[in-house]
Amino acid sequence: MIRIDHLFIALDDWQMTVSLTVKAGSFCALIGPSGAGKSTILNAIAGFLPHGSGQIFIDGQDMAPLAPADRPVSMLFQDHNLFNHMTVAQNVALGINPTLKLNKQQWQKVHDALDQVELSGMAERLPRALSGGQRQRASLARAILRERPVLLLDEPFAALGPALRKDMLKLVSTLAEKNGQTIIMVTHHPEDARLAADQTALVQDGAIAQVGPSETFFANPTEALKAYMG
Amino acid sequence: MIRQANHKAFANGIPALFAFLAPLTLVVASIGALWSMAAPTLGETSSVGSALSSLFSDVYVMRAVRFTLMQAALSAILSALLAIPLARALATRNFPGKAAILSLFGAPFILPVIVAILGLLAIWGKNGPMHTLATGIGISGFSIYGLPGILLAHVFFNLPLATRILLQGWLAIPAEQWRLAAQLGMSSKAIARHIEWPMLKERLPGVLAIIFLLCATSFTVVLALGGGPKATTIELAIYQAIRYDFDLERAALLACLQIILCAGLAVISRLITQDHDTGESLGGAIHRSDRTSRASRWVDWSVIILALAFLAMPLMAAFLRGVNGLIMNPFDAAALLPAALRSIAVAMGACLVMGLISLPLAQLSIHLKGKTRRLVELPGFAIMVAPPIALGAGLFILLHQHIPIDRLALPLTSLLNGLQAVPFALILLTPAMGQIKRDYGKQIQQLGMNSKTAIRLVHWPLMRKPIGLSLGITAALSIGDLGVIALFGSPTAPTLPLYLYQQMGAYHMDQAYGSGLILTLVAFAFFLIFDKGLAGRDKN
Amino acid sequence: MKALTLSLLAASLGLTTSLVAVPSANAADKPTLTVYTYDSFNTEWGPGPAIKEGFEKTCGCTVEYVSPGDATETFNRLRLEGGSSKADVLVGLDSNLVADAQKSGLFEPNSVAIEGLHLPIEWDASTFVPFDWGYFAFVYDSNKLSSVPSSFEELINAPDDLKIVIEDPRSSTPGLGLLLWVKDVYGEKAADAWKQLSPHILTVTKGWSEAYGMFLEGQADMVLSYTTSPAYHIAAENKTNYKAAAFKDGHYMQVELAAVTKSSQNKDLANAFLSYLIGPEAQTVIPTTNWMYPVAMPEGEWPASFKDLAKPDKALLFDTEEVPAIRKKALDEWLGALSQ
Repeated sequence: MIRIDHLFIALDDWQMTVSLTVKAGSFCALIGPSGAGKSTILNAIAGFLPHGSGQIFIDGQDMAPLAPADRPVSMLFQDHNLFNHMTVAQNVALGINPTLKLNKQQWQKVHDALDQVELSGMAERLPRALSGGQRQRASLARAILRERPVLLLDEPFAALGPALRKDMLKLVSTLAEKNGQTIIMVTHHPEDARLAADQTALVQDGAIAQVGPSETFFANPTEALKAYMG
Repeated sequence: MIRQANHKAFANGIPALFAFLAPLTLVVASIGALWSMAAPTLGETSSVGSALSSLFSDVYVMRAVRFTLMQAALSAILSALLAIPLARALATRNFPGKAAILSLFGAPFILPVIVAILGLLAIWGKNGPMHTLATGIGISGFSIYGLPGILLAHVFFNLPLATRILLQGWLAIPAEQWRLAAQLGMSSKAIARHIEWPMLKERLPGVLAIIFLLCATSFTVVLALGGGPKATTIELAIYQAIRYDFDLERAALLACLQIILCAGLAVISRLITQDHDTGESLGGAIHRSDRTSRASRWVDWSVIILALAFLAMPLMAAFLRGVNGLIMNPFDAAALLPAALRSIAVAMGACLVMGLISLPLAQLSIHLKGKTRRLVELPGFAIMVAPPIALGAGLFILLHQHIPIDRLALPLTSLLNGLQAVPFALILLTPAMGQIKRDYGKQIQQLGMNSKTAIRLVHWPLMRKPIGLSLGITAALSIGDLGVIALFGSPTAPTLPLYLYQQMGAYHMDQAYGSGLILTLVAFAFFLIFDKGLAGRDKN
Repeated sequence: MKALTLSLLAASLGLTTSLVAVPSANAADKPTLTVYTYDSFNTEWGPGPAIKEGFEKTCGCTVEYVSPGDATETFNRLRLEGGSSKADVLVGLDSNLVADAQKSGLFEPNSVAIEGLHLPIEWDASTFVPFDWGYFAFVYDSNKLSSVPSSFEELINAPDDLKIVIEDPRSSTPGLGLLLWVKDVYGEKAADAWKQLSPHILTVTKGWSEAYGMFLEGQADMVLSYTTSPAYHIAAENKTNYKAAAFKDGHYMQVELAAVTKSSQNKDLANAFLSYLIGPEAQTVIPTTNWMYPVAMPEGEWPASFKDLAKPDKALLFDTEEVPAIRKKALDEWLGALSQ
């Protein structure tokens, strides 16, 4: 379970206060206008942002003292998930050992992970020889190998076409379900939330304006959600 | 607060602090030593205030200050202004050998000053083709001595540098913007205003600052082409103070004046300007629809051809004299080879120093916010503008009782050459390091790479190109620089540039031209070894 | 990381040092005579190597040259080091700096037996021993310049297109020589003379090399150098077209001096070196390496290339005691006259 308790973040002249609970093994979508603070919440959970008062707990453990690498979290970004100068296999292998010193068994795991995301033949290619969807699938393969209970998705599929995006969401959901991962995803597409998320939250002006199970969330929109959905 | 992971690759506090303070300490300590030596030699202690007031009331010093600032500012503006059409033409037009020509652009920079001056005079001086041309079209009394000569030489030295930086700017404009411009049917004027000017506004201040510094301290050129004491520099006033009056206090003050005026102006100009990335590739050309007419093509090609002629003719003159010197005189391998090896050793030392200072500084700069990051450029600027004669004398006073300084002439030259190259290296390294942090900083943290791993897997593969180019520039600069070796002196073990000056001093002008050619070739070879060798091929 | 930085730095220093350090083979049993001299004295073309070799044959010692720049810079190095200098001998002090050298108290009277010096002037060699000398002069190419001025007056009145290139007195020894030459000839009217000369001055360079290089490239008709400069072109290149213009005003002299330092630990050796320097062996070497007149050799024995050189009728040299004051005044006049 992820519990964010009165988390206060101030960046230059902008600030936000957030409380949010996401059940273990569930899928939570964050929607809302640009600049509302959706990505900021993910960056705080992943440990990329120093924050003020408030706390983040994952499975009861306080995140504050943990460095990003030590948190039970994997995060996927829109860009730059892969190092462009390394092969796909190397990029994925970083999930097992960031020094890239892997034994045979571990390399086998890399290839298994690539199989899972249907990139078996692409192991030795450089990322720039891959399509956008393939690149994000490779990133996903790495996230699988890292075996972290929490997966944070910062619009990783935003640049993909609708059909491909749907496929990717399905893939992520399936994998997460299989591995018992909790997911928080930032998206610009409410239909993504409807499709994949158990829980949806609307982030607006540095606060959570509405939150609830996805079905009821969209069925009973508040004024804020109405305004956002147009 | 979240405890930040120790992901800082090249430096955490200590190396960065060392890199920032070491060059500044060197300058301050040298000048301080000069100052401390002054009191006993003068036999009286005069206050700083009275010394300063005597300085500022000295009409020649004030004239030197004014002239130094004026000629440096004019040189910088002229070089930058001429670089604009040249960079634009080079960005728009592609031709075979463009890459090679851009590499050769570095040559005026490497050439020993005296060889470059004589090369320039062979074209623009009395009996030169430009002089003949001027007389031919009825301009009598054409003479390059005076301010025109100084500006001519400074543009010759710095136009290539300015052009390279601006060319990168043009090539860094996203292709979408050109397509958008084409779609909207923007005229050249509109493109200049909406696309090119914003880019230039970011890059020109940096270009102006570095050329200003180079010209403010270019003492031999100003003197040789200036035509007389009208064209005088602060450095000459320092010579006067040290050589005849042995007035070290005045020398120290003058050195401070030069450093504060020049480095201060440069840093201020950097603080009020925008950030930009450099170090992008210089390959390819942009496609713009507004410059497809016959007239615009004609303009671009004329600009390129004129600029190449301007840069190549003096180089060719020096080259031919060098070949002639090598043919006319037996090749003295017994003297030239050791000299070349010494120069190479000095250059390698300089490269090491440059790396040890620049990398932590570049790393430091990306941890600083906004414009304060420009402050990391200060140590390099300070060394660049510190008058060598004052620095040399100060270092000598500081060190001679502790180490055999005559034996250390070469290492000290390495040290100072390496530090002088830092500003150039930072132009290349800082943006590259910044980009790595922007693109991959979070990945490195998330994956839990330690510094060593991050350097091996990320920084090194991504930075070998700018590092290679920085090392190449450092090596070339160092091989061509007479530096402080002439001040500490070791004539029986000269470097190539010192050997060249020795030959000139012994009437052996032809041989000196030959040595100049060899020097240029060696410097160029090392530039290429680092630039091409280290950069490596992209695996694909 | 800091330790690594420092050790890398130390390693690189060590590496470069090992390339410079001259192993002194038997330093243990032989004393070392440290000679401070200007750089061109000690290049492969200068008299340094031959003199070192010759002296070492007899002295049972090792001669070590230290050259921190030109003559003035070398003297200033000694001044910076003060009493702690390891220099035994200074070779190449310019006569114009004798007053400063006396005042510095760094030198002591020598015990050299001085006789038969051939100098056009009187010289007290009790502390500063002359070893060669020359006249400053304007050198020209006789293939190019037909009407050669034979005095400053004629130079001033020559057509404006007769151009000379000179050295800056603040950074160069010949430059200072010219400054004193004009002051000696014109006295109180020196400033006016410079003003009148200024249309002829193409440019003023930092040092002799730049000026002479520009002259050889044909940039100027005349260059300030020495009457002995043409001897190089005669001896080494077989060219007789370079000549020094003889001025009726007389020519300012440069006398190059050597002296024993007060701090020397090898005073006997130091004095022996001075004796050797004005002895027949060294004096034979000096003219065709330093391109200056020997100080202890009758004119009849001069090398062939020296015999046809222009010989000034009158030698000019300020009293060494007066030079510092004159220099200061003359420099101000020069700056004032040429800065307008």
